[in-house]
Amino acid sequence: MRDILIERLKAGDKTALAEVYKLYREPFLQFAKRYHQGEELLQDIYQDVSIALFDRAVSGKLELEKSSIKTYLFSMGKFMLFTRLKREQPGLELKEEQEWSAGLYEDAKLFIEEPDPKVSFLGKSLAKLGEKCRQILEYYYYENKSMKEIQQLMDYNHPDVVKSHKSRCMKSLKESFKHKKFDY
Amino acid sequence: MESNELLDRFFKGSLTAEEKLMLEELIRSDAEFREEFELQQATREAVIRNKHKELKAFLGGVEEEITGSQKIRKIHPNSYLWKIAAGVALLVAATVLIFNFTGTPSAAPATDSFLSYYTAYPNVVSPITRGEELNPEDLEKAAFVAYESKNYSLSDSLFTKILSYQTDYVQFYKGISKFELGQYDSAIQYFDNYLYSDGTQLRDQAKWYMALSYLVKGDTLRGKEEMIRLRKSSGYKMDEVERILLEIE
Repeated sequence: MRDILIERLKAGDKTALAEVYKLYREPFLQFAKRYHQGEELLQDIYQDVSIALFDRAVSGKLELEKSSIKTYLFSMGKFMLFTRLKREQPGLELKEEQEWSAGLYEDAKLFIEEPDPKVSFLGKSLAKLGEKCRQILEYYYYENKSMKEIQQLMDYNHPDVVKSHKSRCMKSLKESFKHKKFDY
Repeated sequence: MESNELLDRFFKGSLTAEEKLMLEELIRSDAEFREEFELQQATREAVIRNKHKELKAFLGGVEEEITGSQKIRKIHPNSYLWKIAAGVALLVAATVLIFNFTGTPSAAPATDSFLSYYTAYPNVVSPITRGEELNPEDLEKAAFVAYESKNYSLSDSLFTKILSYQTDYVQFYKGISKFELGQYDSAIQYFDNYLYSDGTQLRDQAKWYMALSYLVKGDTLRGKEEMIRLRKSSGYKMDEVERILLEIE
């Protein structure tokens, strides 16, 4: 049963994400209340953690021998919660400090850090590209799919067709900020 | 190996140690390649962030579903609570009736009077040139064309399609479309989403329309609260806000 759920997550099935979300929501909130009482923040973090899990599954990085879904949600949740609390109150002492693994930060980065101006701008330009481009780029960059896999998923004749379509999409993206300067 | 192929394998996470060295060398020595690499890195991050926004909105819906059904479950098993509630409702109804009959000045002004403060906010974000040829894939343009021609049910559904990639002002204009369709609860949700987004340009406007939505749907209490909040944070629509607050008093 759980195996099927994991397979569906790996295939990028959003309803599987909703199921996982419902399955561990109560236990997670109970667990996280030990560290923080604000329900709204905890829910927000639980959503981010669920998405981080989905990221891992979709991009083929979920190693299930090592850690089950629940363990991942709890340890990542604690990491994100502690990071957020510490940013809000820099002097805060938290019990049970532990060595966080570099992998946790890597997965959590996009939830914790603000995007730089170039990335924000690209995000908006992406939305204007049209559905096909959006889909190709999502398969390629979010799901780490190969040209061959994308060709099959989108019913193209040949991986090269995907390749040239992708480079056209990238070209329009480049055009979009040709005259833009970004300050870092 | 071609440099493009190297990038493909990098993004797939399948570089060997040797290929990794090759990639690093290329980044160091070839400026053009480095630029391409950086663009693709940034694009990757933007794609993932957009996907996160989409998933976050999706889970927000799941969360609403859960908390909504919990509230119903909490009330349901205690039927005596219902009786108390019914009693209170009767009392309220009776009081209102008595007050109306005895001719005391009626409490809240009709919601219609709040509607007179409303005009649809102009499109200030996505300029449309008349006669311009439309790219059918440019959903945002299409949505704003519908919006400007007051076809709000069409703009509403088109905004939905681009909601997940462009969370800021689209949320706001979707809220206005919902208001126009008379779906005030939903409008409130979108104005609220906008206020939670990174958008800065339309914050006061979003507060104003959110407050109006509450008033028009009949929730004077929340409407008043939001008006007061708007008054505190800025001078936007200052006169109107004052008049409305006086009307409510």
